[in-house]
Parts: sequence; structure tokens; C-alpha cells
Amino acid sequence: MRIPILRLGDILLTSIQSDITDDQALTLQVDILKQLGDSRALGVLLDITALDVVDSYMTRILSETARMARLMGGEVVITGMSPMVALSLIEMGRDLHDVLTALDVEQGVEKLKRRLDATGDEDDDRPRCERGSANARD
Amino acid sequence: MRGTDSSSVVLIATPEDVVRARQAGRMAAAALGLGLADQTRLATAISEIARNALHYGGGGRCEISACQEEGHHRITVQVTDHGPGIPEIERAMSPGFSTGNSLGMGLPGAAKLVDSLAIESRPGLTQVTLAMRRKAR
Amino acid sequence: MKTLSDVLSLHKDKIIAAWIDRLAEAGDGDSETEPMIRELLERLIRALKSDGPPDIKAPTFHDLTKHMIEVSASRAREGYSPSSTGRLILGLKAAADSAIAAEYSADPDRWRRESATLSEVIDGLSILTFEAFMRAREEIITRQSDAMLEISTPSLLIWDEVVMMPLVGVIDTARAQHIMEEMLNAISREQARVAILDVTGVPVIDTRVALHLTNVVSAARMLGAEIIVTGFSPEAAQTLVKLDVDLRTMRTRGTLRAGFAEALRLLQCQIRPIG
Repeated sequence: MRIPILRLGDILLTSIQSDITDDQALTLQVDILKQLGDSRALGVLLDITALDVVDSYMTRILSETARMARLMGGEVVITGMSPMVALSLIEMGRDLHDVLTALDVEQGVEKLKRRLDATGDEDDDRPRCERGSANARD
Repeated sequence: MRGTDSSSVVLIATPEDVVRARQAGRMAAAALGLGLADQTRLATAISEIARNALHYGGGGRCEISACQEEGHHRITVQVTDHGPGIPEIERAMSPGFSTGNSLGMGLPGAAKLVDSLAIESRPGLTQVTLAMRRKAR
Repeated sequence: MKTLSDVLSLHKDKIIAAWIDRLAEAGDGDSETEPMIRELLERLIRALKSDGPPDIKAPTFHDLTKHMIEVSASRAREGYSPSSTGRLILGLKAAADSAIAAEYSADPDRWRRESATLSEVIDGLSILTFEAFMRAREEIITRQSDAMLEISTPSLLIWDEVVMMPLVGVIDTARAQHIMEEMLNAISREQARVAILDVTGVPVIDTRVALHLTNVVSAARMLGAEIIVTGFSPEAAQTLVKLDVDLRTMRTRGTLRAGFAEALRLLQCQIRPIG
């Protein structure tokens, strides 16, 4: 089963609804990047509320997706990670490098919008946030 | 008092089986009354070693057993495969080690989540055993 | 000649009376003592009567030892001292002496043998009693420390999207684990974007505790929340820097007040006087 990706204005919205296999995770990564390229979306919101296990493979997929998206000029926000998943990841010595996170979808959208506003090309007088590969899209 | 109170076996042949194995581990931990944090730790550790059995061992079996000892619960997970074996166990246990395809084996991480992790490996038989021991409530 | 079991049975009332006297002398007797020791003695008589060896590990003694363990554990829970519980069973030895002497005076060999048997059984029972007592005590201590752990780490919602957890007292590994879990759960439960961890009341912060602190900061960040640690004491600051603990990623403030101000700044909020 493929995980659906919805488009909401500038943002792609996708939610993992159950524990997924490595193959499904990889497929999702490919799908997200393809949609990001096809549409003119600037941000991706990936909700993982239902994921109760995030191991080294899943961590890799998540942070790679974010870095790949950034190369394409998009930002990824991961939302809804369960507290115990975060704890296990840290205890394993893993981290979601350079990935934006938010507690829930609402805060995620807010964070994404702020980040996108801060890198918009016409808004030069707005406060700028640091951004790894800023203006890659311009 | 000691004895195996329950045990379950998941055969690992597909990526779906890796998911099944970690969910079985979570259920075993929950059945003993372990908290969400320990359930997640165990499921995550199982996920790592079950994936190794699938990727490097060409599939295998995962046996999860729970027993009681002196006021403690003990969950033991043993993942066995008949692949080529892990050539350098010590290196495999050091962080950052990977076998060629840039994907580490996740063994050091898994070891940090449980109380003990033991590896026995030779060509034709690899056995990873992990255990978690918690005070009974 | 009568068996040891017969002798104890025949002189039961006299033995119990002497037993109670001895306990009363030590200040241990109360209204519950008599039925309790009567029960013990009756079980002992039954255990000795059977054909098995007079060994408290033998199955014939199972009924007696089980009862003894229960009595001892319940006394531990009721707050009796270990020595009074020990005296309870040891009192039987002296109390039964005169009865055994009276019955076996004609046969000194038999006398010696039977009193050695009784004394061996009682010694075994008293060790068992002591072990059961200690075990019951340990259970109480464990239960209490679990309960303490629960109440010692409250998390409070102090502002919209801000939770606070004041830490007081020494933090060991078990407590640090509990604090981390509770903090992350509180962030998720309250949908808090900022969490303040106040360590003003923590006397010692060593490398281990610091590691847990940095872990919880990273974990919270993965959830999408920032943690502000407030109130590191001068001693803590010295220790942490000397131990070379990397706390650069940690947002710290000197006081809870400054931490709260930082929390509001992160949320882009302000508190202003009215008018």
C-alpha cells in the first residue's frame, strides 16, 4: 500500500498511519521527492504520530529525505514523534540531524510557513533564519 | 522460581516480518506490564537485529520468550540466521561500522537499549541474543 | 517411650504458658501472641509426627515453614523489630526444655538426641524467620521508593505551551530515567513548545546526570520543543566544565525567572503592566 501525499497550497502533507516496512519507507521517500519536483510545493509536512518504532533505518530515511528535499529547495517538517520514540533514538545515540520537527500538524504548518517566509525572495527586509542551502531554489 | 512463562516465534523472510517481529516484542513487553518506554526500547532493538538477519543472513527466525525470576521479569530475544556470519564482531559492535552499502548494522545502538546483547557468529550460523530484565510490579 | 511429637503434644498447654512467660519477660507478649504460638506449636507437632526426617527442608515441614514465613512477613509489615520476631521462635527452645527433661530423664541418650533435634528444627526456623522478615522489609522499601519516584517529579503547565518541572534532591540513574520520560510525556501531553527544567534544588550534578540532561534536550528537540535548564549552582557549573561535559547545545539560564522570560521570548510573548 502506498502512503498518500496531499497538497495544500505550498505544502505537501503526508501521514504515516501505521508501522511501516523498510520498503514502504523507501517508497515514501521516492514519492515525496517526486511530488516535490512535480508540484511547486515548497514544504513537506510528514506526520509520524502513528509510528511506534523508529529505528536506525527509519531515522536515516527521515533525515535523508529532509536533506534531499532541501537540495531541491524544499523544507521538511516531521511532526508528532512519540515521546518514547524520541527517547529510544537518543539513547541509541541517533539524532535527526538538520530536520525541523514540531509537536503536531498545526504547529508543523506554522513552523513551515515561518521558515518559508524567512527565505522568500521578495521579503528581503524580514528577519532571516539560518538555512543550510538557502536560495537553492532562487 | 524460574521457567519460561511464554514464548513466541516469528520467521523472518520479508520486510513485513521485521515489522511483525518488533510488534511481537512490544506485545510481550506490554503483557509483562513494562512501561511504554521499555516497550519501545525492546521493539526498536528487535527491529535492528531482525533487519540484519534479513539483509545479511538471508532471513532467519526470531524467538521471544518471557520468564519470571526472583521478583523480576526477563525477556529474552534470540534472532538466528544461517547466512555467511559477521566477519568482525568487534568492529560490528563499534559505532559507525557498516558493511559496504553505507548502512550500519545498528548493533551498538540496539545494545544501548537493552540490558545485554550477545553475538555468536560463524559462517552458517549467526545468533544474536538480547535480554531485558525489569523489576516485577 | 513417647516420641518428641507426643511429648510436645502432651505438654502443649504447659509449654505455651512457659513460652508466653518468656516472651513477656522480654516485653514481647501481647493479646495476639497466644493464638499465634499455639498455631505454630500445633503445626510443629504435626510436622514431627510424620515419619519423615526432622529436617525443615523436608516436605512434611512445608506446612510449618510456610506458616512461619507468613507470620514473620506480617510482623515485618506491622512494624515489629527483627529481634522480637526472632525471640518469638527461639522462646520455644527453653519453654520445651522442662517437658523434654521430665519425659526422657530415664534415658539420657534419648534425652540428648531429642533435644538436639528440637533445637536444630528451631534454629532452622529462626533463620527462615529472619530471611522472611528481611524480604518483607525490602519489599516495603522498594514500594516506598517507587512511590517517592512518582511524586518527586511533578510537571506543571505554567503558561500556554510552557511546562515546568522543578527537580529537588539527589538524582540517581533510575530517577534520571524517570525524569526524562516524564518530561517528554508532559511536553507531548500539553503540546508544549517550551519546557523548563529547574535544577536549583539538585545538590550534585555529575557527568551521568549531565548526560541525561543533554539527552532529554535532544529528545525534546525531536518532538519539536525546546528545553531551558535553569538554576545550575556554581558548584554544578564548575564540575561540568571541569569534567568537560559538552553542554553547548543546551539552553541555560541562571534563575527560573530568567528561564521563564526566555520561554516567553521563544514564544514571542510579552508580559506588560496594564495601562
